[in-house]
Parts: sequence; C-alpha cells; structure tokens
Amino acid sequence: MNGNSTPYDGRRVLVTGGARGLGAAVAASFAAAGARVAVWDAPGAMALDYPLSGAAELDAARTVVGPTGHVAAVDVREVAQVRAALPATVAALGGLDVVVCAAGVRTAATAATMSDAAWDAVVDTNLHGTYHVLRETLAHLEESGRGRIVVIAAEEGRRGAFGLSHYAAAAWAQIGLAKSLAHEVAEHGIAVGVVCPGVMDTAMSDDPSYWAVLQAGRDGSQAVAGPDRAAAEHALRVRHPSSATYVDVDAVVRAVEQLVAEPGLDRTGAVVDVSAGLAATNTA
Amino acid sequence: MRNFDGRTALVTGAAKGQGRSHAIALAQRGANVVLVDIAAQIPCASRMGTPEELDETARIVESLGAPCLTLKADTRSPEQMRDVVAATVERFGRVDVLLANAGIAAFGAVREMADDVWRDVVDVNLGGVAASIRAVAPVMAEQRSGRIVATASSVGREGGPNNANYAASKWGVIGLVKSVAIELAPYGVTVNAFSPMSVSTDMCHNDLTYGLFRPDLAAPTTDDVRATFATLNPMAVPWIEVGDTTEAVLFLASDEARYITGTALDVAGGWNAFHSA
Repeated sequence: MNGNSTPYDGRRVLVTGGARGLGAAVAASFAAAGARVAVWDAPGAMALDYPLSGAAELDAARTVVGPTGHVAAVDVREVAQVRAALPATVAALGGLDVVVCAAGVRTAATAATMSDAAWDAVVDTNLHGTYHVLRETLAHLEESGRGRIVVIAAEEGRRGAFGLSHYAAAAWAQIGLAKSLAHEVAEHGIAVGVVCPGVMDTAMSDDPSYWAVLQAGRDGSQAVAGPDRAAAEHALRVRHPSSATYVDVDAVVRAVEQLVAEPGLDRTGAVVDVSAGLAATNTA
Repeated sequence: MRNFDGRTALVTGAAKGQGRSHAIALAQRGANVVLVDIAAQIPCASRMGTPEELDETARIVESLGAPCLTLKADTRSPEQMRDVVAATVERFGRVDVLLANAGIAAFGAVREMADDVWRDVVDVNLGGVAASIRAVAPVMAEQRSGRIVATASSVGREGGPNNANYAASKWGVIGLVKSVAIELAPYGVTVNAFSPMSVSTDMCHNDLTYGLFRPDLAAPTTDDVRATFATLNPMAVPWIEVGDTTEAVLFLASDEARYITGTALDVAGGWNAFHSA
C-alpha cells in the first residue's frame, strides 16, 4: 500500500506467534499497510524437534513493527503471562481492534507412540494458547466496536491426519471454539474467522519427524527408510490437488486480511481453507 | 444376545449415566467389564459419579455374572490410564473394547469463563479421551484387533454459544478419532466417535443447564425446559435416554461394525441434518 491512507491505517493488531513463519508474515503485512502491530512470541522450552523463536526473532519483529508497534516475549500456554503482558500491549497500541492467533507448534508421532510431552506441547499451545489470548482480549475488542478475530488452525482441522492426532485434535477444537465464540460476540460487532493453512515452507516444516509422516503418505502405508526433506516435498506434491509443494505464505496472509477487512459480520464463523487444493477433499 | 462373549471392555465414566448403561449392556452381552471412574467431584462440573455409584455399577455388572474389574482413575492422567490398561491386561489378558466415555460439562460465555471451567472441561473431554486412547492403542495394535468408541456430541458439529469449552473439546475428539482411525486401520482396530444430542442424565438435568435454556426464569423446572430442548432437533425430542446411546455405542464396538472406522455417528433426532457434515 502506498500513500498516507491505507486499509489498516491506525488499526491496532495483535499477532501471536508473530516473530516467525506465518505470524511474522501477517505482522509485516499489517504493519506495511499502516496498522499498529504488536507481536507476541518466544515461548518457553517445549518438546519440539525444531527451534522456537527467541530474542533474535523478537529483535527482528521490532524492526518490522516499527516505533508505533510493540513486541513482547509471551508464552500463550500460560494464561498468567497473557494477563501480565496484555495491559502494556494494549497501552502501546492505544487499544485493540484485531487479534490474530498464529502461535502454534507441531510435532509428529502416532498416538500409539506419542510422548505425553508431545501431546501437551501441541494442545497447550495451539488450543489452550488460542483460548487464553481470546478470553483475555475480548474486553478490548468489545471496546473497539469493530473487533476482528482470526484464528489460525490447520488443514488437519478438516480431516483426520496420520501421525498428527494431537495436532488435528487441537485444530478441530480451535474451530469449535471459534464458531462458538462467533455466536457469543456478534452482539459486540466482533467477527471471528478461522484460516486453515496447509503446509507452508516455514521453520515449523523444517522438522525431520514431520517429513517422515509426510513420506508415509496420508494413510501411513508407505515405507520410510529415514526422514528426507526432498522425499517429503515430493509426497506433498503428490497429495496436493494443486501439485504445489507448499502453500504460499502470502496466500494465507491474504486470507487473514480478507477476514479482517470484511466490514460487517457476514463472514463471521467462517473457516477458510488455504490448502493447495486439499479443500477439494473436504466434505463441506 | 451375547455378542461380546469373552471380550474385555473398558468403560470410562462408568459410575453412572451413559457409562453405567454401556457397562451393564456389555455385561449382559457377555463381556468382561473394566469400570473406570474418577469417582470424585471436579468443582466446576455438573454432579459427577461417587465411589458408591461406581460400586453400584460393579454390583449390577457382577450380578449379571460378568467378570468385573473396578478402578478409580483420572482419565486426564496419561500415567493413570496406562496403569488402568496394564491392570486390565494383567487381569483379562487383553483389551478388546475401549469406550472413552468420561466427560463433564460446565457452561458460560468465554468473556466471563473462569479458568477451571475452560481447562477442566477440555482436559477431561479431550485430554482424557486422548490419554485413554493413547494408553490402549499399543495394546490393540499388538493384538491386531480392537474397538475404540469415543463420546463426542452434537455440539462437536457446530458452534455452541455459552458452551465454547465443551464444543472445542468435542470437536477435538472428532479430529482425534479420525486421525487415530487412520493410524490403527492397518491393525484391524476401529476408532469412532459418536455424537449424541442431550442425554437424560445429570449433565442435562441440572440447574446450570436449565438456566442456560431458560434464562428468562429464575428457577426453571424440567417441565419448563422440555420444549426449549426440543427445538434443537427436527424430531423435537428434548433428550434421549441412555439406552439410546448404548445401542449406538455397542454397535460401533461390535463385530458387525468391522469396516466402520473414523466416523462420527450422530444420535441426535436429526439435529445433524442442520450440520454440513
């Protein structure tokens, strides 16, 4: 966007998980379009096979959001951290109009072999973390009068997923939460949408245990000699009706922005699939 | 009909309600029955089973001649559920059926929801089902047979205002079940959800639920809420009986349902006809 007037001029946006991956792209896009953006990220340690964002990513986010923005280390798994961080975030932005819940993690293991810690990392971050942020920010979104919530779930929230039962359960539950909330907050002019992205080429996908699950195919039947990124990417191309390897991060960002830009409540409760054509296999 | 002769079935939430009904029917149909219940009250939830009620379920099951193992356990604890499965295998040698039935409800708008109302409902209804499934999955895969039925809800098929915690947990159960169904399919283990409308148990008949359905009344009675409940489904039935749920659950657990896996079976008077899938 060029010029002094943009679609998001002065709009006050919080993006969780906003220091890296999809969240960072969402934060950058809103900031570039004139929004005042707050980024939360850099959670505490958890049982993952890829590194989480930390101080370096938060520093980069500060550059992205600029002097009118705000960046904080917040672990959304801990409601106390959310409560502690929110006043300074809202004060820095001068209010809150938009919340994008993009904080999410993924591990890969079958239910029969999954560690308790793997279940907890995924469900605590993706489901409980989303809830904590929504529960605590609702009062501010009500004050806004034009509140917008976008929950980033996952393609696995639309079907069952081999090796990802915890991730799928959390994504389905995020959708149930968002749809329930859409009923509750409409009277305050708040719209709630869900975006279900497929696999993107982000740090979260740089995970050998996840590659192995992809290599095994959607029914897990393909023999896997060992995790291999190229083989996983081939499997993605085979699986995707679009034949693309990855879902374009920018396409997901556009879906988020469109839900935010919709002026009324006509799209509230909607789930938007951005899944390289996997939506073609959805029942509905 | 003794179509569960010699089978070993584990039922969570067995002290009363649907769980007790399932356990009794399994006993009548020849199964060895493992009764699991926390047998304690979680503060935010509608009335939960007591140790005496768990004992009463065991008494009924044993009176039907069924071998019975009764275990107090919190389904939220993966460790306790692994212990339950280990005790089941030690006693009966295998686990043929898991009915992951234990669930709680507590209501409220997200805006005002107390931390425990969210956390306990999700942890029991989704986390507890997952812990139960994760505990039996290795055993059933090794056996190369098994039936898992998890209790979801009609509210796992749509958004539920003032019920976001419960809706999220039940949506999650369906996503979980579909995923594990894929994983365990090669082992001949079926994994299904069943999604009932309101069932005539304590979870349905309590002041909090009645108040949700008739916010216009200070102290609504059963007669006051009956018509409001009935508006939810086109058959206009206010609530179904536990026996209605048991028939569906035991079908999914039966030999006859051998090729039914990854489904979420609605028993809801047609409420599901309002849903997209």
